[in-house]
Amino acid sequence: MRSLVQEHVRAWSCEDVFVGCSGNLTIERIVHDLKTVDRLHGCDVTLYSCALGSYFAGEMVEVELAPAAAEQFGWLGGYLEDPPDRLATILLASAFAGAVGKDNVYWTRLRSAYEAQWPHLHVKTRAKVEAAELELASFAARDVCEWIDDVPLEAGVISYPPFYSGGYETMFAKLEQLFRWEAPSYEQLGPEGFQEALFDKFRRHKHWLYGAPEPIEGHERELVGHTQVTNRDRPMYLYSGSFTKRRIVRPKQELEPPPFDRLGSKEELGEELRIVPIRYQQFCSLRSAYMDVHIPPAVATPFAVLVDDKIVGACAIDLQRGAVTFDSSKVESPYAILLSDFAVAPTLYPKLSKLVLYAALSTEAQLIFQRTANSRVRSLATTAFTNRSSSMKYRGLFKVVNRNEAPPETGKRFRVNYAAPAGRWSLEEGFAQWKARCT
Amino acid sequence: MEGQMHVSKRKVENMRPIATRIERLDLRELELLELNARYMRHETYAQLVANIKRDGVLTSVPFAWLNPESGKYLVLSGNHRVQAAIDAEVFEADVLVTDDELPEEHRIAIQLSHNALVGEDDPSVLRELYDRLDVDLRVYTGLDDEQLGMIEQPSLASLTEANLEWQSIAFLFLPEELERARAAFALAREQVATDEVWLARRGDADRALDAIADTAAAHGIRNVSAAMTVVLEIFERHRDELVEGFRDGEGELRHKGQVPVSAVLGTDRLPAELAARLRHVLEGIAGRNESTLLEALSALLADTQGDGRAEGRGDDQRTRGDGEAGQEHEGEDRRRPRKRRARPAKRARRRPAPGA
Repeated sequence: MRSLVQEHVRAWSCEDVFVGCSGNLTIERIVHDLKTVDRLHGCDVTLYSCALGSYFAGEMVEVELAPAAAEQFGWLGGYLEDPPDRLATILLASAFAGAVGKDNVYWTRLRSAYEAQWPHLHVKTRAKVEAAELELASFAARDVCEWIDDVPLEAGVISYPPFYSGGYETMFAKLEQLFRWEAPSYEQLGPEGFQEALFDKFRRHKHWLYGAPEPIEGHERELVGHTQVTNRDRPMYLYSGSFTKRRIVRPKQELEPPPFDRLGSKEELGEELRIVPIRYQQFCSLRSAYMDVHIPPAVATPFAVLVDDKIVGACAIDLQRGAVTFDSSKVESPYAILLSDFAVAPTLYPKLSKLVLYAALSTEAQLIFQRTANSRVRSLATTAFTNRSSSMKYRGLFKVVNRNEAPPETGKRFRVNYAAPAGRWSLEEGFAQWKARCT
Repeated sequence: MEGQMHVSKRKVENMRPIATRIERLDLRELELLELNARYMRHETYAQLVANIKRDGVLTSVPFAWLNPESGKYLVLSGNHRVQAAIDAEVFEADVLVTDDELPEEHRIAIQLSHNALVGEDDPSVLRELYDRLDVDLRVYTGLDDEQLGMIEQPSLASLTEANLEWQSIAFLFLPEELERARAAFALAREQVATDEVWLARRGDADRALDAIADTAAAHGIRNVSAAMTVVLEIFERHRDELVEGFRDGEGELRHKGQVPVSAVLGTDRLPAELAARLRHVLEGIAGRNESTLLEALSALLADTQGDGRAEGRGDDQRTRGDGEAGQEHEGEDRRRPRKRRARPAKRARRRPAPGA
């Protein structure tokens, strides 16, 4: 994205470049670094962006603490003196704002930490602001759909509007509650609205670049960039009126050979069941080889399951529980999510995937998970997409938490959530049980 | 080694020319290899499916052998293509087939050779060809500008707020064995980049983690260090219970080491007025005895223990032979200790200690 913007703007023959939806001024800073444009202009509507933009345009917005905030955070008032002071305060407050209005121990602790460290953090942030080499010829706190009408047609224009209606409002709502300022009025951009009201307006200019989260139908020839960094990231499509360079960046998992051999197709199992942490790249190799190739990979903490020194399978655990939230009345907390689990194949053992689960539910695995997470792991939870009402792999070891219709993109009928207590047996006991039941 | 080479050479020589023909087959009826060394990343496979969907056909032909046991064709080369075509709902395709008898070794050799005998790319020619393509067709190739080294990454100085500063502490729970504990401690000191490392018995790990987990649940938080802070606050409120560490239920001393003052008073802070009075008393005793404040306190207690016995609270802990000092100042200091004794009595009524 950064590279594409520079490559395109470098080829433009215009004195002024206008950036709509400035955000944190990334595009302005990329273009500024080129030193090929005489004047840069920005536009946005949030306090965060307007503070940044107006500061670098030399006309810092006036802000004061909102009455409610002044009551609670009066000490902030001493940090709104001059423009760099005000900008540093707003930038810092954007991180601090998340803790406002929440009263549990965590947020209280965070608020106290900010208050205690504020003088020091403010000095550091102010130094960053003052060191930034950026100069804007103008900045408009305006609705981009109206602002673009006033931009001269011979100027270059760039915009990468927010993906979703209300996305930025939610992100900065808390910050806006802290300060009183002259906020511009604007209409939220919807998926229909952006193409009609904005994309067409941008395309009228001599030079233009426009980023969108979805392909824009009928404009394939103007598509100059398609970037997606990881398999679960949202892609970005970049359109331009002037063909200079076309660039694509596609996700590509980094692979690395696993540190052990897998169990051979005609090889018998050894004596000792083990579970060991492996590198993520090694796990990606195993997953690509043995897991359903249709499932997009997610980042999790990976482990190999071995018998003696032969890999029989692998699993990956989301210890932060970022991916899915389970009903804590039905799953004993704290729980970790078993994001992937699979066995190598083919082998002499048709139920080898259950051995991976026996290993994952062992006390040794629980200890490793806890040590990795730095917290208790009392149970494991997982989700299976299946055409049957239950997954044979989890049956008997995990209990069904709930069962829903699967999303269409999975190609399966049911989404079944499962959970099981962690640390149910030692690896040795688990291995013995698996042998008794599954071989 | 040489013998093995002769055998391999003879086997290759024995491979006869293979009779092949192209047949239009239902891909769903083909057998796929059970053991295949070649695998695909999710994203590569997804692109292959997308390409076949876009083309509506398979543009390279799989190779399959008639398996006399099943009567079906087994794909020796092109397993991913066949599977991807089925996923792309392209169910029929031209397949290069052979009905010849092919021993397993020969089939494996064909399978591996199709994976291994592939050419190399000249990077500059590759870039030149790739550069002629528009965005959609670049995606089609399965390559991208990044892997071809065609993207320069402009560096951008950060323009964000300074982050909160944190300090970290690691608790390492270790097995009981001393040697392992020592080794792990040495390793921890080398590897763990935290501000402090504490060691504790592994047997306590679950209890500690349970305490943190339960505290987090009670407060509706997930942050472990915030929960730990609450655990410490709860501890602070119960510091007086540390008395169990140095005095048993019968009042017997458990050890003669040092204990924190808060274990006696339940707090390490005193109201300023009380602190000033205590200090005044102790300084008075210390001044007269030319002793330290601690010795003065000892003398004071020796004196009050005399009172305790008189009230029937027998205590034989006067072990330091400092009764003399206490006796010297009996007249001056006896009233205040009596007042202080009243407070523990109130606490005991409010929250009786187990076994008290």
